[in-house]
Amino acid sequence: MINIADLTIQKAQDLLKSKQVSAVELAESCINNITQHNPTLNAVLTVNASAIEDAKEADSLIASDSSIFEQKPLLGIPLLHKDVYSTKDLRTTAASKVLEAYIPPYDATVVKKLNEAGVITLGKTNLDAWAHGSSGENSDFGATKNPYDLQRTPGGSSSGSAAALPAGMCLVSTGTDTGGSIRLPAAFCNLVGLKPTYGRVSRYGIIAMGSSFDSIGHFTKTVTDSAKVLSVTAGLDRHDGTTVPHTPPQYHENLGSGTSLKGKKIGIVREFDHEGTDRAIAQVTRNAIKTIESLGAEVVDVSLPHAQYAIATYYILIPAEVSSNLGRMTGTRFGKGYEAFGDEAKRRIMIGAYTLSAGYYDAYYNKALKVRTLIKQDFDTVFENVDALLCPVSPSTPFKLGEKANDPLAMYLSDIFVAPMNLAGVPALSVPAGSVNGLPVGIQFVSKHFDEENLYKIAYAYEQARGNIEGLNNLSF
Amino acid sequence: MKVDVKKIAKLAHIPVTNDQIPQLEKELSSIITFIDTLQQLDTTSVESTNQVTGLTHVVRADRVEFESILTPQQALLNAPQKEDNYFIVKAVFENND
Amino acid sequence: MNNYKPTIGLEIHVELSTKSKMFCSCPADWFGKKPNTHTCPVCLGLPGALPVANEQAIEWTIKIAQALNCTIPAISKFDRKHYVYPDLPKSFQLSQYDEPIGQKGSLSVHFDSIDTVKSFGITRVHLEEDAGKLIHKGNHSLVDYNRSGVPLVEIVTEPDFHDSSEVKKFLEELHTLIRALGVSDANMEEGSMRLEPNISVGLASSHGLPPYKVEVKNINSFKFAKNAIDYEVKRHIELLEKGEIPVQETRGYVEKNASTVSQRTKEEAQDYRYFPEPDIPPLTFSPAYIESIKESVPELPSHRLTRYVQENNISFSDAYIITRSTEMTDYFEKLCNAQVAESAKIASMLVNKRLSIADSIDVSLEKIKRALVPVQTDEAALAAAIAAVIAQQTKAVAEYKAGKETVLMFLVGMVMKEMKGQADANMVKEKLLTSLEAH
Repeated sequence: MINIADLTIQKAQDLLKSKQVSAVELAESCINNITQHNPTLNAVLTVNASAIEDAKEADSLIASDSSIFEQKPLLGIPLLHKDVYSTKDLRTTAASKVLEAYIPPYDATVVKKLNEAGVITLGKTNLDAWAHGSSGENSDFGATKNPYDLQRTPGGSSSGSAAALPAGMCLVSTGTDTGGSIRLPAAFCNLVGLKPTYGRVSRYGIIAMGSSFDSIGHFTKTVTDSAKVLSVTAGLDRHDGTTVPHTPPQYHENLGSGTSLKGKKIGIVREFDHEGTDRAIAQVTRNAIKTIESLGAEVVDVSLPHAQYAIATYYILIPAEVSSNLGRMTGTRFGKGYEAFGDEAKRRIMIGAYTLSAGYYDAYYNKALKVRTLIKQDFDTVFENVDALLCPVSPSTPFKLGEKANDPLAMYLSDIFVAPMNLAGVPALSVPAGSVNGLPVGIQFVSKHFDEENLYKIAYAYEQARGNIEGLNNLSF
Repeated sequence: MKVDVKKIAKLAHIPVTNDQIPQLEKELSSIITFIDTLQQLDTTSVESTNQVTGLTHVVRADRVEFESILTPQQALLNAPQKEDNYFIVKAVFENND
Repeated sequence: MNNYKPTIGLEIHVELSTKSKMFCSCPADWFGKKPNTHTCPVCLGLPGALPVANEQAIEWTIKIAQALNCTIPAISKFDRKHYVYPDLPKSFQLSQYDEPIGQKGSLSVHFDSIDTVKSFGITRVHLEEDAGKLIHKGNHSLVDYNRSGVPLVEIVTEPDFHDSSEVKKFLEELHTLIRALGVSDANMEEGSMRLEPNISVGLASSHGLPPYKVEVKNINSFKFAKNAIDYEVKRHIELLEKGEIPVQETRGYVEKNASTVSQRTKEEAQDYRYFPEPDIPPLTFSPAYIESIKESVPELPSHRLTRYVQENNISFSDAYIITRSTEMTDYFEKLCNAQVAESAKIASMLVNKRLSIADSIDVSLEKIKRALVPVQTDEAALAAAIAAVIAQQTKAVAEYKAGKETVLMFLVGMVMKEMKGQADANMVKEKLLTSLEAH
């Protein structure tokens, strides 16, 4: 068996091309890991029964056509989808009892693109139901555990997608980032997590949480792997009127030398350096700043004066959009009523109905839309001056399961460093940066709209200079 | 800030039992108190942002695409009750809109 | 009765006859199709599906709004209107709230003569999607989503009406206009035009609107709209006479006894929780775009009516009937263009069913010519008549000589008049041409 947990897409592609490993072997190894570790981790909700068949087809393509990788850049790469991605004929639940038996009759655009690129879809991953949460504990099918410490959360909402990679269940997993739901779990599970610019990757077919926020990204082990996947998923989709028309570059071919950041100006956000942050985490962030300085980047102090209002703004706008988006899930077509929603969905539906109701719209919803303008302007102003921001991802290391489960507000505040980017729509990349008490810690780079290319260049150079992450717990399953 | 849970629940179509009310009242009140912090900001001359892409006027040509049409079997696949290619619901007489 | 004054406003829904639906590429022709055969993830409201707006439907809404003299804003948008009902798969309807495509317009309606014109205010014209169709069957209902997502234009009038016959006349004019624009078949039986009057009654002596209104939903005939209004006005007056104020509510029309029944009172009124649709970027209309649509608006029925009466001496009643349908008007214009008779004569023959639009133009022209052939044409009298007309109509003759050939029809008409209609139109034309050549 191949050690999937240590394998990257890049390395797997070399092995596939040189026929040292087959797509079937990769898929079987992953499914083996799912069978073995899922009872402990609860990362995967549904396994695709035809995965091995698909891998066999990939192998016959590889055998018959040596140039096939040019047409199908991710051929044979095993993948898991967050269970909000509509997959034709494969159950899609959003980790909610409401859609327990839902079989979509169509594929999300990103699913289609990845299939055309040759990935082997192994199944669907667990999450906070409807992607509402930061810990995975809101799943109607039980919480996912962090592979580095089974007492702790892998982060959410894309909990299963994040936990699956260190456990060797796939080489790439998809996620959605509405207020940090990719970047937080990436930081908690020692992964690279991309939140692309809103409008860069199609949302068509992905179960909506906050329609004006949802960013469609993915988890990988390295920056290069992340870029390879975005090269496939990015671009205009005529089924999503909010995707932009300009053609995206081939990100993985534009990573640069990875040895220098000379001429780059990196901003450090003043407001994110506050007492609420765990000291050891602040130290990891400071080490990362030193690393990029050593690569020749100029580091400057910047301010996002309205970022402190991001969570309050977010928790007006998101529940409003949630209360609207979840209305379609009940009744005539799916059979369950509103009583079947979990507690967090119910809270959001109620808050949303309240803030949109007659007499409250201006005080809440429209007020929040205005504050959103101020937050977006903060980012626009900052990016007139710097190429990227370097920020912490989470104020703490992965917290214990149950620790915040009964305090919705405390849970919301886990996202203070990640939600502002979703309000502004800018891209951000969470990258492993170190460890504290054996647990992973990440940092994120943030850039202006549609500048993922720059983001990858900076993160790639940082990743090369950073070297291996030391001091992580052994995987505990 | 005290919220009227029953009123909000009705508006949101969420069935709530009497014994759930105290807990919900506590949670919703704390969330609403929190989001009320925005009232500190003066936004009188600020425009609203409900989309961040800056895109305008994205439309499609008036063309039928037969490949995206579902068969009635696909359309009704997840329906809890169906009959002769119709979805079935409890009797409704009054048209609400 | 005379102490009271009814006030009526209207909401009219018109289904556009685009090829595809409003926000997806499913066929929009739903009527009579097998259930749930015209659906896709978008119009079924499946999780994850997203709307993209139909450009043609937007253009046609602008066209309707322009024909109704509305202002077209530079920016418009779609909003979500929330309510829960089984025919509405997303539990919200994509509609327009505070930035509709057409704003503040009017429609003029002729009553019994060309001089009795009344203008009614149009509050707004907006674009939305239709819901699916419910079929009630004992203790359950069947749902068909073929109609879900079909483009629907809502026209809202000011409360400018004070009796049911005004309303009926207005609706007929609007129906004719919509059909003339070629944007909808406005077929009442198939529900592609649906009517909702708002009715209230106050004291004739008082100013301002009464403190309530009653809405009657989804009526699909002009007669039913009239009946519903008459029933409501009578009901309100009876209540007012007893010193009661009618309850603000929504009612449904009951066809079998031309009455209405209560459906929902104000206390149960919906809170639609509108907010801007995040999935559809705002619409922007440049002045050039708005102008280009304006240029595609054909001559409107009321304009034609006026032209026929004032320029072609056609009787009001004939002109009114001819301008009620595009088919009739087009046919009429073709017959006139052949210049075989006065247009008033043709109009009269058409209205009196001595001609049929089912016949070919040539067949009808033959009929007209035959009708115009007198037992005998007095050639001497004709020559005298032609000479007299040429002598009198110096201006028209000069225009004809200068190349304005359309004047010929006028001159033929004058000669026919001189002959008191007792001449063969073809002979008149022939002789007139010869005389003009020689003149």
